Amino acid sequence: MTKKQKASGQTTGIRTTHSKELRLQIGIHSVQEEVSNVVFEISGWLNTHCVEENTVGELELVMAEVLNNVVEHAYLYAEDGEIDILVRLRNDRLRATITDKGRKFDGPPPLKVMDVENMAFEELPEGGFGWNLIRTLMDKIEFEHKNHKNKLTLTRNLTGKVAA
Amino acid sequence: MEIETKVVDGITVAKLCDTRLDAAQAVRFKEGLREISEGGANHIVLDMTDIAFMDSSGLGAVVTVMKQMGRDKTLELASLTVAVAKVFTLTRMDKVFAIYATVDDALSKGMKAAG
Repeated sequence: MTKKQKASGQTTGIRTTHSKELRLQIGIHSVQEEVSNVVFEISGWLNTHCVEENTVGELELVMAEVLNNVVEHAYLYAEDGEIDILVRLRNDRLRATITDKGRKFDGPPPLKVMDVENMAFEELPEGGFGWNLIRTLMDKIEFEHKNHKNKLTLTRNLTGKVAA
Repeated sequence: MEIETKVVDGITVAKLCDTRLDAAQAVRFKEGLREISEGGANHIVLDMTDIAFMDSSGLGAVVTVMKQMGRDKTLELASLTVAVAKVFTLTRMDKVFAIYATVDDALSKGMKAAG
């Protein structure tokens, strides 16, 4: 089975009628190309459901940052790690839950001041932007480590209409 | 990652022929740019027209390339899509790079040192 089939084979787009909540559930392996494909797929799904275009772009970025972190820090680039993604979309908010079974995560780091304008050329950061972006673009961040799993839930409040 | 280059008045325009500059592409991007820089390009304008998505790994790769080129060479950016420009703004890296609306702008207004 190819990577693509694996990813799409586990995709569901079930609408839960009682709460008018749309769900997208996808499982991937800890491979950068799979992250690339899945965030593209998620942004397509959000577009389909009429989430505002700029918001979709921001959410795609947040998902990429979170999943890249899991690949790098939870699974240390081992390509057989499992990552479960659940996106729940309602009229007024989006919640994304990312679960992995990799190394224990200490929890989201605080916002860090990066005074890049006053840095020497040689000191300019080549990384470490991820959590600042996630914190800036999301409204709520929850984390728990339970049963050897890292579970991160990110919430973004939405104002626009979501068409089911 | 495929990168098309052309030289205009001593300035190398490097067009990224891909829609994504993300973690999966970062290494190939850095290798491609290093080749161009080591091939003798001292002033590079990166044409980002086609890049619809960039994550912080992609941004980090652009910083790496600039640092590897050193202070005496220049790397400037042109034609950023809305999503890409946002990553630069949110990280304040838009204050670090020279960013132009179009490649033509970069060639005419910027890169004066090259002439």
